[in-house]
Amino acid sequence: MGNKRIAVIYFPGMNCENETAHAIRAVGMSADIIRWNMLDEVAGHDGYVLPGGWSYEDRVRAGVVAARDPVVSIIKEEAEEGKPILGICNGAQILVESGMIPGISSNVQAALAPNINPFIRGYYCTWVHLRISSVSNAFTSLYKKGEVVRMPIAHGEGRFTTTEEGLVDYLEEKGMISMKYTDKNGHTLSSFPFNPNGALNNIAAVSNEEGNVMAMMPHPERAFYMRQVPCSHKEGLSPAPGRRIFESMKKSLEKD
Amino acid sequence: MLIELAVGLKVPDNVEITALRTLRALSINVASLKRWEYYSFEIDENMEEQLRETLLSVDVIVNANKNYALWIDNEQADMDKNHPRYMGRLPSFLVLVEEQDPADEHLLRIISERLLIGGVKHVERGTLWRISTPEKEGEGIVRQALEQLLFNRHYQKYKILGKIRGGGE
Repeated sequence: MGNKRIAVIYFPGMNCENETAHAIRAVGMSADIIRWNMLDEVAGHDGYVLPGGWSYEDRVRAGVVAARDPVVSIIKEEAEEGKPILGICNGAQILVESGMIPGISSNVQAALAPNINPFIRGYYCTWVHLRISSVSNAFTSLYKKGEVVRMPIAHGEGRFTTTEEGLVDYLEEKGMISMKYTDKNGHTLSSFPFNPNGALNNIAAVSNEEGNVMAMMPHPERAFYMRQVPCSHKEGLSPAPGRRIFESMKKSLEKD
Repeated sequence: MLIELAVGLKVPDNVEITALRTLRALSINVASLKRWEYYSFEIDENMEEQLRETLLSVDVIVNANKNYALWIDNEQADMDKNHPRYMGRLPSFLVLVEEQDPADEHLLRIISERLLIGGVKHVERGTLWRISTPEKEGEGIVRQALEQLLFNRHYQKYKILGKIRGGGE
């Protein structure tokens, strides 16, 4: 079984492509950083990651300009073949604005809206507690359901919201909500700072119904080694919670 | 009383340029786009002069090095290209995109607590777009531009504030 080839799709303005590629390689897959306009080189990879940053400088709305880019049509086709597609932060915004998440119809069914934060308008970064709510998709299978992990967030537009009636209940019922913002004991408190951006039902990560596409606002590549986790420097290169996102992706590909 | 302010950029607006290119790539026939930050202030009448003067002279929502600001008091077409109601050759539509709750509590606090201006009851902010289109069915094109790019119905709303007749009509 050869190395699984993952494309990290880089749009102008992104800035997390190298550490994302590093995380992919560190779990034993290969990573190609593919620019948004290298359309001939996109298809044919085993999986795709849309990393974080500010694609097109967040012009108009975070992720929307990239979501209308031709490369996203190719990624949609690859997703329809069942390939794993992960969007991290700005990548998550692109997946939501393209309609791939939650992907129940071809329309855009949700938004990652500007944060609601009682103290700061715009960009906000911090470490958050997340409860793994579903382990049935390609990116969370190596977690335990209900486990509480820490990862950092860093965004100005990450508040999951929708006006689709019944959508959040549907996501809950189908196990499509993969992660929720919680306190350190895993309780979903809707108030700041436990819910750091005002997301509906504390949603931090959502997958499609098939479980091969996931949009997550937290940055797993920044919680890959324990030395990246606050107060854990002595443990150095031992695995931190974000690593299992990439290991789960690898496992899902090896199953095929 | 209500007063409204449009704040534009003196330098080329990258958002405008990217939005126009994206709409054209989506085959939406928009001839030109212009964008302003929009603010509305509900104030006591006796505070009008002080608010107008202070907001334009402190670097809170208008940075004199890069922004210009225009009070948009009436619905008359204007001959200033930077004015939202500028009458160009083609007809255009003035559209306000706001969050579903457009109240800006942060700015209201700055005005009352830092700038010490009393009598401001409510502040709203949004984005004002002037969209010109050569198509006869201009409003349909404008709605398409909004649905496909300029607004997300899950947290925003839009109002078409009016059509500005084109000089070439």
